[in-house]
Amino acid sequence: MLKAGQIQEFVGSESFKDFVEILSRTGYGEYLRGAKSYSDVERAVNQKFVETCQSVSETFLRGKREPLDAYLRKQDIKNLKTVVRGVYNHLTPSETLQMIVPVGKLDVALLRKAAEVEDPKLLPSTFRGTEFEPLLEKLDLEHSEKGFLAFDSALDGLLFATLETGFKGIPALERYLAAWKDLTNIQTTIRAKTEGLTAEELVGLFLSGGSFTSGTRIKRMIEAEGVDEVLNAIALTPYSEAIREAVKECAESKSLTPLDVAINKLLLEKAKEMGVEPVGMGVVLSYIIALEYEIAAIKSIAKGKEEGLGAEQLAARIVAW
Amino acid sequence: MGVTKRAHELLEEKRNALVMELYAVLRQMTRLRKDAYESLSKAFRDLVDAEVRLSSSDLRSVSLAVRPCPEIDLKTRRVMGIAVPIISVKDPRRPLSARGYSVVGTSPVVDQVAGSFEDALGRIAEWAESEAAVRRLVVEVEKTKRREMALDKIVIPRLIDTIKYIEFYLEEREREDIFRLKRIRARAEKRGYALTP
Repeated sequence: MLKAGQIQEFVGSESFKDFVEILSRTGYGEYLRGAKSYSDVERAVNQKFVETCQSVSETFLRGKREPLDAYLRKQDIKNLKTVVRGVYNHLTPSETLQMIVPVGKLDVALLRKAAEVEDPKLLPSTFRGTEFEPLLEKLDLEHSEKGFLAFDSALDGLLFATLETGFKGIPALERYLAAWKDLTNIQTTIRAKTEGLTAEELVGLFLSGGSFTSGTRIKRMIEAEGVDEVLNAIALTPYSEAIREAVKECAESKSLTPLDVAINKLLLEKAKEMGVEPVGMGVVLSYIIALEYEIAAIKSIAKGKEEGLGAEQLAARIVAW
Repeated sequence: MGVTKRAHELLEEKRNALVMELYAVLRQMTRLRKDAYESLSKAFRDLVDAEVRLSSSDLRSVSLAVRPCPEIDLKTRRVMGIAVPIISVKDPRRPLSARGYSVVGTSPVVDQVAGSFEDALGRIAEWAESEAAVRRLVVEVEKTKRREMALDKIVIPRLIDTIKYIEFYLEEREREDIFRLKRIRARAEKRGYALTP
């Protein structure tokens, strides 16, 4: 893992070339040979993530890796969404495969086979026998006014169900999942209120579970007239202050980036708490999540440097351990 | 000649009216172009922001889930007899639930960039409409000017020449007639006939 100082050094680098040079001196160096563009850096750090996840999954956990598998299902679902979208948009298999990060249970060969499918109607049979087959059967873009929304939401539901099963009985992981659900619900509610979604539409997007056990709070969040009322509804929760500050920043900067950054910072804090226990799955998962954030930060810096963003602008957009 | 001069005057009036209309539409187009540029530059800033926050691949993947752009209506209206297009985008700003991607699995920066491009689309349609009107008006002004010039430089001078020629020819014939009459009278007087005047 990188140290905070190293991330600072990346942010303060003079140019993209300079950044790649500094990054090459770290553990990412062996993956970065000849990296000249953002996509080279993205490919390199993704490769590092894939290899690390594989080695953690195979070497350390042996038969007891159910929580990790459940967590990595997140990437499976992301990959599946990408492949299905690629097929529906008639992308070439190589274009689609460039966007996937092969971590998780879904075999790369299966993803490649799916990406090569020319007729989207053949997708369910490609995933025959998996839990994705019935969802793909139901996917009908011709007669849907909301595109992939129902399919994506079903996959998101499947992910959280898998996580619930996988994390069951491990308090640190259950607490993390609850926080994840809470923050997702807060973020969804704020986005819905910003975009003028009705309470009925919002109910369908709300994740069940989480630590908000009070039905009144959830009802207030859903029925809130605007973002201010959502903030009042989440008052006295551990997230209240950070979210309130982020919403204020959003209004000032006319951008939703501060909200995204604040939510992710809170989630990362929760992941840190998960790693406090010296033994058990919490440490492993917290390491994987930290690595995920580190890689996301590297990608952010690479893109920012390529686009000529200043150090201050970049620092405001990064969430790292 | 009177009709031609009237036609020339009418064409001149039409050209003046068209130029006035053109300036009004040009002013509007300049404002709309500025708005479109501003909204597009905001959209691209938001795109860079989104690419920095998410990765380019993740953002591209989400963009593939976004439904195609809303319907664009093309109609025509008449400005001083000229057909100019009306380009309208049906509800460019779509609600979150109609964009096609899931809310739970994506970041708010995606809403930001999608919303910005939807706004830009509406602005671009308005700009395109006024630019098309400007183009049509310019063509019509040119056409009217060409017609006016043709009347001024070709038809009217040609008509004047024709009139002059006819006048000259008629005067010539009148002179010949007078001369012929004088000679007949002289001959008749010589032979002792008296001609009534």
